Amino acid sequence: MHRDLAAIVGARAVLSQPDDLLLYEFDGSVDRAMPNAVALPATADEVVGLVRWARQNGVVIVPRGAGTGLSGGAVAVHGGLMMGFARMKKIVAIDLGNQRAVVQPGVVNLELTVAVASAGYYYAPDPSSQKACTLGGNVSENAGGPHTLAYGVTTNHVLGLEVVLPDGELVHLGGAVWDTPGYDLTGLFVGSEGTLGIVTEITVKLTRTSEAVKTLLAIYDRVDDGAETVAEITSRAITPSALEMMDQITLQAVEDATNAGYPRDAACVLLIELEGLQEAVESQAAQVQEVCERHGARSVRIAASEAERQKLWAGRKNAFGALGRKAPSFYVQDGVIPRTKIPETMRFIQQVSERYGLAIANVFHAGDGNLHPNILFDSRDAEQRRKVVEAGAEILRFCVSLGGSITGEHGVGMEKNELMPFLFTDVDLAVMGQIKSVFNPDGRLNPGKVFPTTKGCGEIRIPPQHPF
Amino acid sequence: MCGAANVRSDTPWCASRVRAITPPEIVAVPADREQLAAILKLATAEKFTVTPVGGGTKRNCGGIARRVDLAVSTERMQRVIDYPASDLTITVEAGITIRALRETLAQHGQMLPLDVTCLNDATLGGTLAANLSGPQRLGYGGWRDVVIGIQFVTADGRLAKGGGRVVKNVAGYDLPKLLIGSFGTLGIITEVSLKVFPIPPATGTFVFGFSSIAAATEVTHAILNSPFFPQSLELLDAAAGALAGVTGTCTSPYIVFVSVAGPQVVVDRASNDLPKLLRGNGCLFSQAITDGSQDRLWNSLSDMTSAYLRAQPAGVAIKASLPLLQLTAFIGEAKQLAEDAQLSTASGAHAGTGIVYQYLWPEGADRGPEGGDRAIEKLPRVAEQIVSLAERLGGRATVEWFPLAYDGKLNPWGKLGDDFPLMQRIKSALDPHGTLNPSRFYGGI
Repeated sequence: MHRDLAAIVGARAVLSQPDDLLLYEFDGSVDRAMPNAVALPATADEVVGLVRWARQNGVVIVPRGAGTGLSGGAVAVHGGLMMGFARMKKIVAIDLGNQRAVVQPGVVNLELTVAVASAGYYYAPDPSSQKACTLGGNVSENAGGPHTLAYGVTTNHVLGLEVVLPDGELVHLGGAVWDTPGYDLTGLFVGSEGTLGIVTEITVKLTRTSEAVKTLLAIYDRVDDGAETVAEITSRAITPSALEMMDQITLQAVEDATNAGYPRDAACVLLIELEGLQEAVESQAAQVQEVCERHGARSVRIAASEAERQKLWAGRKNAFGALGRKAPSFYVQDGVIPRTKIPETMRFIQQVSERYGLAIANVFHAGDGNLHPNILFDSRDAEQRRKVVEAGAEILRFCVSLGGSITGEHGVGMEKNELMPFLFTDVDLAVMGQIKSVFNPDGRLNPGKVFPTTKGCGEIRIPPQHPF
Repeated sequence: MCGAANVRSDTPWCASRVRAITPPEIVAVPADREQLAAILKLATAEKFTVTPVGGGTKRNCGGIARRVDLAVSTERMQRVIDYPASDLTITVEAGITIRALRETLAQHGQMLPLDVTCLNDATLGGTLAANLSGPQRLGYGGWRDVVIGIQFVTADGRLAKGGGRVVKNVAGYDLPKLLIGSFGTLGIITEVSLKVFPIPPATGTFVFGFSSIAAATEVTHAILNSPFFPQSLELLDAAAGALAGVTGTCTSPYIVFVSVAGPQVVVDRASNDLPKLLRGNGCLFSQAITDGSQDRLWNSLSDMTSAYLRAQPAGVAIKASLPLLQLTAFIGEAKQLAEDAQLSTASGAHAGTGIVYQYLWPEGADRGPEGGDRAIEKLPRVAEQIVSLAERLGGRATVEWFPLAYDGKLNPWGKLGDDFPLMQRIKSALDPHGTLNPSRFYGGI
């Protein structure tokens, strides 16, 4: 089998030794499973070759970008062939006049922005992992990020996709322009978590950089005050490009790790960014400052220089990594609530933390109500592992009870697939299953993801994968 | 199922709203989605075909159905289900008109930034299903960017949904994207959750006139690459200006309309700086409108297609979507193709998103009873040439609006993509008996 794969992608691009496979056992989530082999195709043709081979041999395929995903989307829960995109990392075309770029799926998110920054453009979706995560993975997960508050998530920036279906067919969805005729298959495909096909090329929209940007740091002694500030900024129709909250545990971890200039003793801070014309930014900054102060902010600081601003963001974007200093493991949740319900939700999370005896660090996209409670624990402790999963589900159930969702940007993956019935009826899931069957009829592509395995809808029983 | 009083036998009503060679004689008016589901269950069991009807404004839009047995009207499904204004979201039933929805939002200083044609009568469900958008798409996005959840009834009468009521959500497949623009062929939309937006404190409209298309597009590109992020950026030739009824504002051969919104300081700066972008670009005319009259102007621009169809019932409207840098070539060459065939034409471009409406209609001698036949012979050919032109320039196009008279004489869809078989398979999976809006959609789906 190793020889079969090597014939398609070359011997150096196939991994099947246990030591090598260990690196592909996990992503950014808590789940682990070993693939039987990893192949690293360099071209769409090689992807087609691998997919055909897998089809002939009844082998499961799990596509993988950089493995930074947070819901187990790139974990080979049924084993099989993992397809990594580390060799498909070319920016194929940059077309500034038409505000487009064409990239291979292995291009790292930030690299695209770096490539067009000097011309005054950038690629808007900016997940915290943007220095590492790939655009192919972003497409599969419909990744977000702090600035999606103003600019939208991945799906709002993807116009066209070249994909390989599990039967080996290569098709083009969407295109280089908006509103291509027919069903919006690009829109369906983005966020389908690798269950409909494998992305081999992506056409994205590039966005103009704003003339001015201002970043404010509002510091609070009470979480409630920060949460209420968010609700009022939204309802007063002030539109920041980012509106992030970090609580005390997070702040301390961030300061220990990066010395970003956050206060260690505050209950929470809001990181608020305004972008646009110089005049608009000035006028909105004054409004934001007033709202923060009215809700009891201890102080409101405006980043005085670009260096200070970058430091604040470095702290925010590295917050997840920094939490590693607080506990051996953490379990990040991704619930969404209507953004005016943040105060009561933060109180609920605090209660859960006390009830389970587990510290919870909050660092999240407050402006669109996308929470990231990080439950700190020690994964070596079986009892804690069990409690963490229970506490997480309890928080997500609360989000849903407020009219929210179980995931805003991390995806369902194999982490929350059993929780899908919180949100969706059997019929909803059955309809999604019918669509899945059109693309992925035997379920060999990324099995065990998105849909509940216990409900018999959408998820097909996968025969055991033999080592190869 | 929905009460005897709510099932009408009304051939004229159906014939004036349903786009079918053999329209139905009966219309059912369910009160809610449960009743609608019961109707569709029956339709599937009895194997009759069904078309959803909202405001009945799309009778000339999309493909033509052969035979439809039953119309279902969403006119009793207009409720506002949930409007947490502070969260900037709203959930409404699909039968609400765009106008009523706008009025509801305006009471809270909010808006739905999708300015569409026929807004008085058009319903939310119908407009979504046709994926129609307008000038403000540049600033706020289209339906795919503002819809956060959709409930629908499947062809076999199941109640289903995708998405939810919060602004960020990646749980499950994005079924709303699939239903937007699906023309009622995959399910009947019953309820929609949307992101809504605060009405900006100040808006300014800037009108510039040019002698050539090249001079006009040079300025639209300069504006797109300026620090301003306009809400709208429209480029009309004089013929389109006349159709929209805006030539009272500017009579130049090519007219650019820009709107800029935000705090008053932003509008002030645009008033100062935008005209500077015009230097050396052969601008014939420049005007800033900052009073209330700009609303009327933008309504006229948004409603251009329906004004055109009323004025030229034998005309067609091609929707082309192009790379931005190809607008000049497309508008110039489309005009040439029409003139060579002695047809009248007009171009109205959303110059920031690359979407162009190219109108094409018979003139003078080709109208009236005898000329009508000549028009039927040559107009479809030219329309297809314009669609091919868009494809040659790296875009895509369809003949979005055309009268029933061109049935069988016009391929409105252009060259089908290699994703078309997938679309057919999705249709078969969700509507195996072809109950919903048969042959109304892309490629005859």
